[in-house]
Amino acid sequence: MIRKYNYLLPVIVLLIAITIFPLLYSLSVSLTNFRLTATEKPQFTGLKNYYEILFRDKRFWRSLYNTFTIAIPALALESVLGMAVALLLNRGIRGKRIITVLLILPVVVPPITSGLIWRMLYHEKYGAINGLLYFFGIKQQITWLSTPGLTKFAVILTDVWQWTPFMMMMILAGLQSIPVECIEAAEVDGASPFQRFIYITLPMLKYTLMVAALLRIMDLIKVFDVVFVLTMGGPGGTTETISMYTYIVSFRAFRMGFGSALSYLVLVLTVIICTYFIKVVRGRG
Amino acid sequence: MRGAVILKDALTYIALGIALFFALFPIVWTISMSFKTIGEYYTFPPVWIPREPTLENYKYLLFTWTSGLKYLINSSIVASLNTILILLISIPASYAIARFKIGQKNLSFWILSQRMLPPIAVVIPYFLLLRMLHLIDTYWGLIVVYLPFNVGFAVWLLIGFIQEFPQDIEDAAMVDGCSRIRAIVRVVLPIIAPGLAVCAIFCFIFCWNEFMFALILTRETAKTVTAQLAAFQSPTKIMWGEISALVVLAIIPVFILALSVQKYLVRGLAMGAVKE
Repeated sequence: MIRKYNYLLPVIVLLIAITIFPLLYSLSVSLTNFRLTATEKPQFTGLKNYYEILFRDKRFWRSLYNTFTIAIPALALESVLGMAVALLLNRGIRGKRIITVLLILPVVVPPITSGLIWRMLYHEKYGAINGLLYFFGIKQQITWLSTPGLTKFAVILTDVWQWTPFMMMMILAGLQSIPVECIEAAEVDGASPFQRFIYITLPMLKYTLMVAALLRIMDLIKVFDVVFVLTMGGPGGTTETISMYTYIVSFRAFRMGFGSALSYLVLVLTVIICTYFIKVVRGRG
Repeated sequence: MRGAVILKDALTYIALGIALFFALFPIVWTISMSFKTIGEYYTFPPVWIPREPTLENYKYLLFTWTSGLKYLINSSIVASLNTILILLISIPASYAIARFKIGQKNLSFWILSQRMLPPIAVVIPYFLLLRMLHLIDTYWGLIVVYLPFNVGFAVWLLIGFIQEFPQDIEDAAMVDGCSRIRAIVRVVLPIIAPGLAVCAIFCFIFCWNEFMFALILTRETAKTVTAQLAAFQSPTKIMWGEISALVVLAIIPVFILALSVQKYLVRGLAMGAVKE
């Protein structure tokens, strides 16, 4: 019996050393006023950092607001567009395989490169988007990355570009697992295509959609790479997400104690969603 | 009736055409950009296809400046070594969970949840600890911090592959006098080889694509390609040609790898929660 546990020993040791221990360490740091630049020893300040963040720090709440006003529209757009494309591909058209392969390419691109690619596309003077608009007769050079109302949209669009194919693939896999008989039976009973979608396809896709949306929302909460290259959180903090804010506090201002407390709040948020995700997947198994 | 079908098909293709344009245009634009001379990318309206395609940007990155080449090599080293370690750790663990049913489901879900860890939550302690150990800006520093993320994913994926593998063959080998270890190495691993390959490729892609750790935990010696891409931006000028060329070089390996596991892409991206 003991020998069976030997197989698991490396994993357990690894996770204790590389996740549990560092997390406990940062929990202890979060209870101090540790600054990397300070010469005196850090002092224990108890829950002061957490109190400040939750009750005093407007910038934290703004970053949380920014994170969700990027995450929710992005997720909604990705779901709707992903569903639309998946339904089109599922119509049994010719060339489905090659079209699918080409459509999924953005998913695997490193997020930092997708940020850079879109940064070049958005450039007000030489970018392709304004170039295309010019081609269609709109001569105005739109400043996508420095107009407060537009930057959030720019970040969302970049995420939509990269991750809609993910939703599409998930939904396509879900669609293919729906038994043809179900759809046919409804067709025989005289259900319109719209009714078939609402009463058969959608309910049968529920699990797939749930899993895909939860995976996506966990990623969106930590959105960092794209913001880092596109806007650095600007202009005026309108795209400063929670990860970006934590990064700036910890690695630009070197306030490790405060930063650790912030990062713990991100962790708590993710743990809540992750727990729900596991519940969903378990319910299925 | 026939007319309606043709019209419907035509509309489907038009809609998919628009989707394809949206998905591919940014990539094609970047490839085109990487072959442009400085005069061509600083024009408006833009030059869509370079009139005199040049390899200057690639030459500069790989041969003149050579650092571009170095960062690509760094990324490869970190990703490969991490992948090897991950397989060594995950194979026994996933085997034990799949075959001996250790820890019921709790253990495997706990391991899986490592994948969801927000990088920002661990990067601060990683930075402080690696700094104490003098491991900032080393390959090993990066390789080690990528482990928990990939191990969560790999164990979970491999459990699925091992469970699909019929236990009878393995039992037969053991009845014939094979030890369990021998049965795993000689019988189980060869049969689940495609699963191992898929797992390895996903781990490699994760390391290759990762940015936040690379940005914070490296300086110059161990800097990876993603960290360098962000460093290209200077307030005065953006080196578009060089950036585009390095973006293209950073994308090519992941495209090739992803296409080679295309069949398992859904399973990998959904961490086995959705299968195709």
